[in-house]
Amino acid sequence: MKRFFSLFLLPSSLLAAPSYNRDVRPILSSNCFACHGADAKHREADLRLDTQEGAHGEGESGDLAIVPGDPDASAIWQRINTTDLDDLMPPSDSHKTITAEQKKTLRLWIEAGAKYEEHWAFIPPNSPTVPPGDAINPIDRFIQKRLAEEKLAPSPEADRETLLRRLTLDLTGLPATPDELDVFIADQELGAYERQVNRLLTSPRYGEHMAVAWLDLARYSDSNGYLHDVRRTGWPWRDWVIDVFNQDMPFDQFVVEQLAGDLIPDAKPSQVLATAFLRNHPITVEGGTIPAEYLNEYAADRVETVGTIFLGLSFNCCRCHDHKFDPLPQKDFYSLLSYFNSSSEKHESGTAPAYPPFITIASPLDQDGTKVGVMVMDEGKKAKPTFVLTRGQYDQPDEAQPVTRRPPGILGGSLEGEGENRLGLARWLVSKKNPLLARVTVNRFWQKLFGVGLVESVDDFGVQGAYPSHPKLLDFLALEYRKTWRTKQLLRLIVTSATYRQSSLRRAGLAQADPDNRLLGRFPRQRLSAEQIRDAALFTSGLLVEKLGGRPVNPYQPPGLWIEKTNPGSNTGRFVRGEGDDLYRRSIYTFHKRNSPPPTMSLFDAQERNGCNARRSPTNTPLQALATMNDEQHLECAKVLALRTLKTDESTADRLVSLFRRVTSRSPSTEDLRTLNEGLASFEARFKAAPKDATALLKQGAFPGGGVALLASVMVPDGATPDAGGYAYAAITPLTLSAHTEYLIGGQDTNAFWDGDIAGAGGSAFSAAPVATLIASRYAKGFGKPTMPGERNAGRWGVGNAKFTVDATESIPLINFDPTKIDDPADQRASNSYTIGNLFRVGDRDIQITELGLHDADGGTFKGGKVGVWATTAVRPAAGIDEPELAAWMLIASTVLNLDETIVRD
Amino acid sequence: MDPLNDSLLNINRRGLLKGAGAGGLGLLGGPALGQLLASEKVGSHFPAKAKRVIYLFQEGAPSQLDTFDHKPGLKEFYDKELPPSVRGNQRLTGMTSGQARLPVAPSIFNFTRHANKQDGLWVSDELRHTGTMADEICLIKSMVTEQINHSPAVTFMQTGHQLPGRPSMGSWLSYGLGSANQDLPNFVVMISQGRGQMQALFSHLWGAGFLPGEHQGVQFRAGKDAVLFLNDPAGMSRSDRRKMLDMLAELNTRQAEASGDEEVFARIAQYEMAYRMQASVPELTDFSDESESTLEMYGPDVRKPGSYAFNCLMARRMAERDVRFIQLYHRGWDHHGSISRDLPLQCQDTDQPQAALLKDLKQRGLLDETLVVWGGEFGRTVYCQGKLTPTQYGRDHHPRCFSVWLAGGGIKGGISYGETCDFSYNVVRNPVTAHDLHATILHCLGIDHERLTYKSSGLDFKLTGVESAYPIQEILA
Repeated sequence: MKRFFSLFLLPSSLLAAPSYNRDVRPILSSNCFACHGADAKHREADLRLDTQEGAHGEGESGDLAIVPGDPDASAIWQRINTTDLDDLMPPSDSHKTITAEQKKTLRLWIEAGAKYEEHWAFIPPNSPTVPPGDAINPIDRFIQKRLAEEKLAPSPEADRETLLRRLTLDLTGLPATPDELDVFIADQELGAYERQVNRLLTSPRYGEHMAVAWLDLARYSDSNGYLHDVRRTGWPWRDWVIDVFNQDMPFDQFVVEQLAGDLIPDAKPSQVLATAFLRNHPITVEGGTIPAEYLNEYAADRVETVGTIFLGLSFNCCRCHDHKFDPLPQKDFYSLLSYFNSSSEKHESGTAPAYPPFITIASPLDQDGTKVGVMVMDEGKKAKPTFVLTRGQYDQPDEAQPVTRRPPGILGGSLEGEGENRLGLARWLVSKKNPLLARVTVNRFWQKLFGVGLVESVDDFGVQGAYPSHPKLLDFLALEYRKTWRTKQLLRLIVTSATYRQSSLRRAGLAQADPDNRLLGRFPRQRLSAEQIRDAALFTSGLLVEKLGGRPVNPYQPPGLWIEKTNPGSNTGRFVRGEGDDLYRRSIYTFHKRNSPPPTMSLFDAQERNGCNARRSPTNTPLQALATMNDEQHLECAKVLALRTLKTDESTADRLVSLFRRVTSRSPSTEDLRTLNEGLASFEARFKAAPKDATALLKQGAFPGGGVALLASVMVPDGATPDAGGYAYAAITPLTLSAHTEYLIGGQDTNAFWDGDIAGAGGSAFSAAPVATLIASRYAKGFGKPTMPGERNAGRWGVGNAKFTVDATESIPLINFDPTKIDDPADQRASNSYTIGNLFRVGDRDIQITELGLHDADGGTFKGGKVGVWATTAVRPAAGIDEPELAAWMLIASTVLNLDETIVRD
Repeated sequence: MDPLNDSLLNINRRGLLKGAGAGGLGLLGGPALGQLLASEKVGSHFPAKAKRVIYLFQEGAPSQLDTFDHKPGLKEFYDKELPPSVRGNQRLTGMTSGQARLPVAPSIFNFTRHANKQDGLWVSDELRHTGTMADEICLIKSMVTEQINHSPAVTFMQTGHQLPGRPSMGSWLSYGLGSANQDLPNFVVMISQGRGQMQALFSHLWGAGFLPGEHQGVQFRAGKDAVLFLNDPAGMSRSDRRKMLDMLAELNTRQAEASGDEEVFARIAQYEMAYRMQASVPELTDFSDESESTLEMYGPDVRKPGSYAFNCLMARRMAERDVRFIQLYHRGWDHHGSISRDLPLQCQDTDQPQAALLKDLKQRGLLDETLVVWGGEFGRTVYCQGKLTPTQYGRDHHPRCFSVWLAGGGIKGGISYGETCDFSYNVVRNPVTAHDLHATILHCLGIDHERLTYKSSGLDFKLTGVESAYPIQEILA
């Protein structure tokens, strides 16, 4: 979603000498070019106003549209000012209006000679002179010069806590820890800030964070979209992107590999994998769809994606007709398309995780891991004959208009000596012949840091796009970047500037002079992205599981969201919530289903990824408030953050300070503390009076018990023979479980737990026994005398031995065997590959477990399965903390997690 | 200056928000700001006849031949080959293009003529309740579309473009007209499951596309959590939530004063709106204040959350509360295999409730200001897909004609518009494109579809696309 101003609003003082590109073209483009522009088919009165020749020449009527130096003799001046509705331009039925201010600009421009300029973005960047000044960082010279022209001054540097929070969020996606803040504050040596920059740029979190925006651009998803929305296994490519950002692969190489890695001589598997970029688009397998239509659609998607990402040009108009504003004839579209339509790809049906051509490959982040199929590009022996399609219709090739592979005409020809294939195109894109790539790319990074690009329309550098706020700075950065194409170097240059380090506080005067802060007299305060909001909550609570890459995971989401939108031909209808670590991974690893993206991501403006997207526009809605208040994930974070806080031996005030600072990176003011303290006291009183409410509240989230720490496990082998009581055990290294602590005992491959799975009983019948019955069949054998709910000592093991069962009345089905957590009840049969388990609480003495086992009362031979004990100790309150207290703190933590400043960075 | 003239629209909106913030600084995010935010809107181009839309989308494409496009003459053509002159060079889907024959399958259902303002409306007896509302209904028999497969066709009907990613009609209206209520979302989506072949739905159908995300549809779901994350966790009381929000507002306000960022007040207002929704949504889904006679009118399914009947009554309740765009999807109309078996089931689930909705709106005086739209994404073929017997036939996708009806605000009731050929294969009079339908709907709400535009990627986008589209003057009240 994009929202931007098509005009950069300029102070009127600058209008004395309007520039065609900056001031005039936007007016003419919005109001005139649709009928008097580049599209010859729709040109009225044979008049062109987009070229100097056209505008200064004689029109059909014999009138001169523009007489340089003489507005009153110029037909356009008369026509835009006439009161005769028949003559008025733009015509009244066009619903376009030229404002008085714009008319003034046009008049001044005509008076000054009505000079046309080539569109700025198509002119190669020229090394601009860095303005003189005291600032060391050249960025600041450009920014401060422009501010000075408006008699404005930059803001002072932000305080250190704000600065490190900003920098850490911008480079890694996560907030700074209190320790990191303290180190930075204490570091008074020269270069303290730069050391932080270097530290963060080498963090592997950097790649995870930077990759997100690339996935939006590259329309990455874990499902195919369209009707069946079939699961695909493209994630090794996602991991490749993370890895490449972390390795700081030069951007030109990054481009070439994604567009043509397969064509690089002696291509490495990773280079072939890179071309999955071109296959990330949605794919249909709907019955009855026509192959030619969709193969054309996919190729067109590639053109539009490449156009937006690497050229900043919108090609979707010239798919059907010559572009009305940009010099992009329809032929250019199909010339580009012909690079992308000659692979061995076919129209598919069925639910394969990858359609040919694909490679079978492991994630670059885990090269010994599972290999999966990833769709990539290949190239047929001969380019497919390609024609302009009349009105873009796949079945209407205009055989009079064959096209050859070439870059868009306005941007010059191909590189000499390069093949006419994707590799040639890619090398042209990254060459100096393409004036756009470096500009468009640095502009997107600028947007990432400042919220708005130097060119506000990050996806449109065409004639209708916005004029740069700082054209010379843009070119300076583009040329700097192009020297090495090293992204980390570019980011280092930007984040070490005084401009980036400014305070974000509003200042009197600045807001009036520059209401949108385009001149950057202060740092723009910005809301965090959907991913950052969730990741930061996990991180500050200590729940975040940091592991690079891997298959996508399914953290919490309300049940039913997938199945209600899915048809039977799909294999993404059944949502199965993940367990353990899967609940706490960074959001980039969350399974992305196109037809039903993760709800907390969508609510915070993440993309559906049906097409290339260069900008998310942050919104502010009540549904966001509901999500951060009530999403199980967020509530669980609040609970664990509260526990984390209570584990320290600090005073209440100190605990409040540390909780608050951990989340917001600043210490609360005295007033803030008073607010929190009063709230805490009132919540404590309330929960002490109603301890059952506290107990209920603390049940949010799988933690404890989500398999967060597996203490011991054992495989009871297939075919194990149960003893007379129906038990089969396997020994483990003796494991001590602490008193007053909750653990989870459960199993993976729960086949082992169900009667029907005993070999000999057919092995197939899933018995829909109540959960409680199932839970009662997991046992651990130990020493000591535990006292816990539901203890049952069968006396089989003699004195000191005990068998633990979980009391069905206490049961909380924690891991996936909760029918409400599985979307389609009919599919519960399939759920027998998930872990199930239950909590149990040790009494007032430690106990030791020596064996874990399975039980089946009917006898027979076990199919076998894994049984384990998971620690949940981390979240049991330390001695002396009771549930009402913890619940009160949980609500305080939730409040802090919902603060504006938590989901915004200054 | 015309506020809907879009090149300046975004600026106006932003300017308005800014004004809100400046004015709100002293208000601590009080009701004045909430009101301002809720009523933020662009306005209309001319007086609106309708204030809101209820769109009863029949997903999967109901057969026009078996519902509203009565072709009694087809009986004579039973099992005869569809004349090639009728078919022309129409493309077929891959599902029937391989069939050796394309035999005509007349509808097996009886049709009854219900009195309207013209010479009566023929409606299949499977929709007899709907038929009783003939005097309110404007039937368009001559809808055409370009799409022949479900996903592009549904997307086209809902967003004006066959590929995903454009704003849906509800988002456009939310953007254009703003919200008329304080406590509920502006654009609501409800889904009910049908009984036939289910085709997928996509959240992009109610997505905001490039419009600001606050205009995306909010899905109301069956069950306790009607809106995602609506309910506070177990153990948390209403006063706990109030206490928390008070703390939040206090802390946020101090922060806003420190940073000078007026967006903070907007955030406070959104939390307050969320709090109000926590009360207003359960109140909305609680039918205990409905009379027995009203409930009976919608039929027995009205008591089953998530049913079409339930959603129809919800739609009326939302209309009363000024929700701007109420979108229902009823799935299961994709009757390739057996119309005779499956279509009556679908009708059974939908007929009585939708008729009740019209009646109910009418008796409460809401129909005049509420535009109700019924229809699917395309039609179905007159020829049989699969085996044809006197009692059994299926129909394939057919984009060249289908039926849609409208009723209520801004629309002439009791009339039909457009005509199909004797085979209900081609439109012979007054074809209506999806974009014409969209233009008509916008017109009823006081919006000139040419002027509701939004700039994205350098282009001025509108719901009705680049080709010419026109509101259907003949059916406008």
